Amino acid sequence: MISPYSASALQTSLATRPRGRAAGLPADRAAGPVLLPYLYSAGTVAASGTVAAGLMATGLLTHVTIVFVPAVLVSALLWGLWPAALAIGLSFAANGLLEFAPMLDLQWRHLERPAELMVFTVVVLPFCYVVVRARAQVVEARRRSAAARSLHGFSQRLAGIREEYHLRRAIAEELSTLLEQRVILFSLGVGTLLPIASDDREIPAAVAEAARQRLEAPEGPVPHHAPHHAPQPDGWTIFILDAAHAGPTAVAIGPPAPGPGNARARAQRGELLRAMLDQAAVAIDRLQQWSEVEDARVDERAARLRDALINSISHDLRTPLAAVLGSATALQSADGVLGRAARADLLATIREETERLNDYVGNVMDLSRLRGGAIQPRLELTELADIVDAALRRARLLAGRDVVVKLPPDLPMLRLDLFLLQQALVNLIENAAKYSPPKSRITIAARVKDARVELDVSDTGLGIPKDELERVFDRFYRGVPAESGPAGSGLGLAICRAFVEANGGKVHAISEGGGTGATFRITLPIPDQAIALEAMLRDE
Amino acid sequence: MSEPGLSEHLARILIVDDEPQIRRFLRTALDAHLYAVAETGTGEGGLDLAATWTPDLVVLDLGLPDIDGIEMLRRLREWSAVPVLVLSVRGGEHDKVAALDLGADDFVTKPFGMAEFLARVRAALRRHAQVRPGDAVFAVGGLKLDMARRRLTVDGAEVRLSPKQYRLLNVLAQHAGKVLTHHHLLKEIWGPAHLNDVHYLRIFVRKLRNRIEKDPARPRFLLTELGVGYRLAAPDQFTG
Repeated sequence: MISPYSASALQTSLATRPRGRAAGLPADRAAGPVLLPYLYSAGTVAASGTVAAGLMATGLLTHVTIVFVPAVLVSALLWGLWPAALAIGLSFAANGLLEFAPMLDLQWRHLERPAELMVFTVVVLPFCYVVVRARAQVVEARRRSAAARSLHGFSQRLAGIREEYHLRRAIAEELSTLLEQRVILFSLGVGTLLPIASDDREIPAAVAEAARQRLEAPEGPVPHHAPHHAPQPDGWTIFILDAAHAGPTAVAIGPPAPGPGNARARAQRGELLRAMLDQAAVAIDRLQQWSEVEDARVDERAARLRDALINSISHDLRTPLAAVLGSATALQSADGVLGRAARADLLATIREETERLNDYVGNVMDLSRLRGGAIQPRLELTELADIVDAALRRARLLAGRDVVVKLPPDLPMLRLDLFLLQQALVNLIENAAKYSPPKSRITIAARVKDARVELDVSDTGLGIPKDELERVFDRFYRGVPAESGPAGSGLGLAICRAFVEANGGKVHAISEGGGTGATFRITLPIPDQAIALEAMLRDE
Repeated sequence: MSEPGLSEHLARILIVDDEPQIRRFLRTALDAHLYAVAETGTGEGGLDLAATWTPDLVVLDLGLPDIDGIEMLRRLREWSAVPVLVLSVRGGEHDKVAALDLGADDFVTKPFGMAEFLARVRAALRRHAQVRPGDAVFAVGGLKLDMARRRLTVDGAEVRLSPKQYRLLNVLAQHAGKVLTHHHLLKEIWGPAHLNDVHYLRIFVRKLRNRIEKDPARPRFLLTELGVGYRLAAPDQFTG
């Protein structure tokens, strides 16, 4: 890896450009940094002069040359060699001025002056040299750390991106911001060139063509990111990022903006650029590997789900089908000998099992709607009471049940998809009916709490153990093993949760376990509009 | 209503459905209940039979192979007022509403039980048999609406309604037993400018239920057909 120098050199050169538009650098600072150190330096000398004058006036000190030493050293330390040189010159001048000043009552020390100045120079100059060296090292260290920070920030930003287009776009934009040049990334799709640019301006055809040639070069794309020796289209430079997994990417960098910038700054900028290109290649490669792994993981999950679905289907379709076929053939073949009660029994079986099949098909269809987030809820202002009533009329397994509905008459209207919420509720009601004793009570109650509506479906059945309260919403989860327990696909609650969430709501299970029953609570947001509407229509 | 020679039949019913197994069990069940049945699998065939065989009721599946069931209904309604009972599937609310707005009488969602289907058939036939130019009093359960005197009682006690609430109940009572779509009701009560303000209707239905239903959360008179409209229970649909 190339050692990353020069971020600050780069920024300085950006800052001193007339356009001065680099991120975080106010334009009005453009001319300041050049002259300010000299002003500060002069100011320090002036201050020293004032102090020296004071000391001489009070007679505490007669040889004031020494007073200027700190000024020179400070200038060297803070602002570098040339401001320090200015400070020396000014100190000479100030010294002379002070010692010859007519308004001060001084003693002449003609013979001492040249010697003093000589000592001053001999003492101060090596110090200056040492200080300037030290300062240069500090500046260099700062530059390095700024460059490292900038590189680190760059790779951090890239690391968070999980989508290829966004990653490439971010690379283009980051590079473009740092360089203040246009950046376009090219990669080869299936037979086409895919450009992703840092801005929305037109992509020059010559640049695209050059990138294509580089990417399609018969000897393979040049595997490092030195600019190719092939001719570059007017002022553009094309680099190649070689990512082992993702294939090569051409990075075209537009002509630099005209402006000052010495050879060293350019070289340093080049170093940083190369380091960043390395990082970009790593990021593209990593994303490619990540998505390959992720694809494999999704495939595996899908395969597991498919297996579970097939198992579930073969059990849940075959059982009712066997019952229907058996009953129907019994009726057909033994019609004459069957008593009235037996006939009624067989017919009831056919009917119930067919209804079960129908429910099952409905569940599988709901499930297929869930795949890939294909649910598009049609939200409209609606009455919860209507949905509860419709769900109760559709829910089966409620024969002989004591169903208690407690809805306050002033429940606000909600913004819901009628059918999604109805289905969610049907699934909860049937779930309650399945897992509680026949003829036991099922309660549906709603209330307003914390600016939301809570809708509870409660039964008095077995309840749910604490550690399974969340798991009941998993696909294919069943409260009891399929063979011994109530019939069901194990999909009802998973569908319920997905449909409630599509309505902007939440559903969770509450139970103390151990035969105390279970409550499933749907929480739905209250839209602002509902209250206003009711007020508006109050008097009609 | 029946021709001589067919007098043993209650009524003539035309089945338009492209699935033979559905036609088969409908025919079997309707035969057994003494209706005369004709059947066809296409919309064009349905229009022909509606013109030549003059049924008393058409059972129409909305998913037909040649012309859309909705389209067939539109063409049928250009010249015939025969009652139409639509067969639809779960989730086909959009089609149901379109069919009802085009003048279909009622719908049954597949799969359906025979008892429910026969009840809908009887209700549709009855509504058309008694073309009543003003049954001034509508009564179901304990609810009694005297339209001549604009007076409503529930279990003998008079109930006061606002003018709009009364209008809503009146429209529903005139079509008792039939689903009226949101559009239909909005147009009747608020006028054509408010066709899409279904929430107005929902608020008024709630207010009306609060006045007439014992438990507004489990209404017995004013029933919701989710996503389609409302129905005021006819006496034979009333479940107490």
